[in-house]
Amino acid sequence: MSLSLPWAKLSTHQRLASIATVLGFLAIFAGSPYSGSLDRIARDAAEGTPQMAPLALAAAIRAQDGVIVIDARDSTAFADDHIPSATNLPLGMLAESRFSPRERVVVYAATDADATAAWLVLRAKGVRDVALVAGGLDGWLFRRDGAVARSAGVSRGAESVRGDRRARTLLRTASKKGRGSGIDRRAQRECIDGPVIKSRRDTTARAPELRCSLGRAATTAAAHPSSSARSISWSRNVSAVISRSRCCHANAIRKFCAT
Amino acid sequence: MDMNAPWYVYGVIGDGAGLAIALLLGIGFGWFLERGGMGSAKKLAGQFYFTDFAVFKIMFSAIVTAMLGLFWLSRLGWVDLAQVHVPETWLLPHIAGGIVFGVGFVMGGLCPGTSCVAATTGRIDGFMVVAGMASGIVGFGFAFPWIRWFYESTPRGALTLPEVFHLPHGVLVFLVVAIALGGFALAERIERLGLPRALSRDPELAAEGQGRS
Repeated sequence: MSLSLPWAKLSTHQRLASIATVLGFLAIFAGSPYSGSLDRIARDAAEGTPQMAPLALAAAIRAQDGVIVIDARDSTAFADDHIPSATNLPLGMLAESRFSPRERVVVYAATDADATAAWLVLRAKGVRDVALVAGGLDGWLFRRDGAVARSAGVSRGAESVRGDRRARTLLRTASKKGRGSGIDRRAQRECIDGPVIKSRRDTTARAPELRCSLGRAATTAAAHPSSSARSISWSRNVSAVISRSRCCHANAIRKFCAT
Repeated sequence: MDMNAPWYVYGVIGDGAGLAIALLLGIGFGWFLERGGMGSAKKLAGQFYFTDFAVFKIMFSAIVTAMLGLFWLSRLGWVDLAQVHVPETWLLPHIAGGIVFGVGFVMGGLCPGTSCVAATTGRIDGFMVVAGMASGIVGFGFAFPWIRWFYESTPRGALTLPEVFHLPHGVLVFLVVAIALGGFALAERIERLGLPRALSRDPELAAEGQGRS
């Protein structure tokens, strides 16, 4: 076989061998076949990892538009609390999972560094549309911006509830003291029906129920879009009660959880 | 340019289309194996007696074609190579499996794919190899709890030649092409002259072989 021979004089085998030789030789100078995707990941990382605001994420989850939420923390942390519809895939498991490149993935982790690592893992696995939850789980839970809470719809009540640090402190204190309490019917009615409790004297809190409800508020609302209107209404009321009066009735919360 | 392959992974085709394409590829695979004479145990066994290198030529032609195709298509951005599955290496189990496979290949004269072709064309030895293969798979399934420790030993992850030899992809692609073409030339020579004459440096012996052919 010789390339100096006229093409027409070569047999089929020789032509195929010539093409293979040329393509193989040029491959030496072509670089890595993976480099295109790595370059793109590097460029995207240099521009800053894309972030998704809790507001936008809540809307996406509520619309059920196919966004995949991944919680890259350990299973204990996940069991304690997580963003609605999230799948628990700790970093080690994330590296072993397979994704379709066309999936839209939003990821958060225990720390910013872990979240960025998860972003890199997912991009390296070929998923192109990967974003971090802005502020991580805390960003989701402690969102205090009223405008965000109002327009987020599905989770705004829960966010507001979690967002009021003073309310949370109060609830945590109550929880530590293990303080149970009687039922205040006015608080219960007002929690459910909407009016905000103005007076502190009605405040009672059953801490365990409240804690459960706070963790699940957004989860419940997002997981049951059919009852979202009711949930939103309740969560708004619950949040209003807690944030303004720093209390709410346990039964109201329990009912909200069960929605 | 946006990558759009592998089609199934990227959602360009769904399950139905994927299965339809698999059927077409399977028909083509069987067709060309039979056309290449791979359904005959005698022809395949010729590989091990160095009288017929059809198996070597077909295997290396497939390797070179697929390698050059994948390399250049991914380099041009049409295939996302990161999405192409690379099976993991389990060193000792693979060596043991390779020995079993090789002994079975020589004794039966057929490998898994060619045994299906042979069975389809009504060859009894093909049927027997397929039956043996099926019983082996079932037996393996039942024995798995006892041999699992070996099955999962010496894992090496998804290895590729560029990683093992620390060579750039392109250089390795060229080396494989060169080895394949050199192998083809040598195979042709051995087929024409017979192994002793083809490998002999004695010009008279070689000339004798040339005259014979």
